[in-house]
Amino acid sequence: MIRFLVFFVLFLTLSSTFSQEEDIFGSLRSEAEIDTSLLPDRMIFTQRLLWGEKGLMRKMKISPLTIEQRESELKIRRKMLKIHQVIGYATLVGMVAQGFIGSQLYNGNYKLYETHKLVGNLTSISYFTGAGLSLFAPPPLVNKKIKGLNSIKAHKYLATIHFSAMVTTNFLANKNKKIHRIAAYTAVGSFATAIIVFKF
Amino acid sequence: MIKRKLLIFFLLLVCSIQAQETTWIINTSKSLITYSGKHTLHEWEGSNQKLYGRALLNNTSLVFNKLAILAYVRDFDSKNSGRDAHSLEVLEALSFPEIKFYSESFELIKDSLLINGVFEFHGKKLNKQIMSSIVSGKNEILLNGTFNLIPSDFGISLPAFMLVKMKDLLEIRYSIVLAKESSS
Repeated sequence: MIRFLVFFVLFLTLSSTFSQEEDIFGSLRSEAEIDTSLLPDRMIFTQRLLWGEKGLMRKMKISPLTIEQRESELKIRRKMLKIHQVIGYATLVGMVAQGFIGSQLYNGNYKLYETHKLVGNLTSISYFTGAGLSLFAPPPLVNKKIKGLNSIKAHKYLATIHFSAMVTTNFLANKNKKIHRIAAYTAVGSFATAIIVFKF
Repeated sequence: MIKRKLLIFFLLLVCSIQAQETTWIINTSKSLITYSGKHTLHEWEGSNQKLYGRALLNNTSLVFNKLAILAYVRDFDSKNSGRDAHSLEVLEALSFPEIKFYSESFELIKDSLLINGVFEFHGKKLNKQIMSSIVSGKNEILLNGTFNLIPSDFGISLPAFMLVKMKDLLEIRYSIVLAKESSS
């Protein structure tokens, strides 16, 4: 009888400790306001087009909207944004080099014309690849609306400026040298600032 | 007959032990937990004002018998949407949405409470000893303190910026207000 009681006490203590812990957390979960949404309320139109609730990836059933799939999408997103970061540094190097070569051309050193063209093309490829990685990456889990200016907002505002400037620079490369130059400097300035202001 | 008496005595004992406890609930509007992270280039903070928790207080010894705290990684706000979104990716928030702390071991040392418990974060459980200041009132108990967490201990891969990883340390500050629920 005593042996049975000792065993019973031990069993009761262990099981009640475990179940009490689970019970407490269970009741806490029932009180909590849990956000279980898989997609953010706000996302860039390019992301919505691909990854939104009715996006191409969902419609074509390449990436159904499930927890597991979103988890792997977020891993893809992280990789894409890491590459976006590295390509960004490489692009900045290209832009600075291009600024130097470009100013030599304006000073009459036409020997560098082919180099300017080559570096320009490579920088453009690198720039638009980096932009694509950001624009078409799967959306984050949340995209909170925060009042005031912060690093990510500044990064996004500046992205609008340097993207427009880069398109203009390329479009006017052989059409209007003056505006081409202004657009190129705007692109470099806003692109460098976008890198500097960004904090993770 | 003796066996039956012994069993009844035992059951009464269990019931009386449970009856000596009072439940205290975390007052979410008054409680806050903040983490500080560091990188070579900058420092930042994020706070969570949605803490959920229960404490069971022993009415005789006036020391906690149990303490359970629950927070969700989604509820941390660093005032930077990009950083918060990135944190959720690093912390795999869909698979591991909760941060839990549970303790049944407490020691009152002057105005402080030594808490030995289990911290569950990123799906991993670690034993953690926390020294907390405690201010007890009739209807409210205030727990305040700081402690450190090492993200890599929880299997978290550290995010990098400018190809440099953040420091493998999170400084946690908390201020938890517990309000008396009801006597049982």
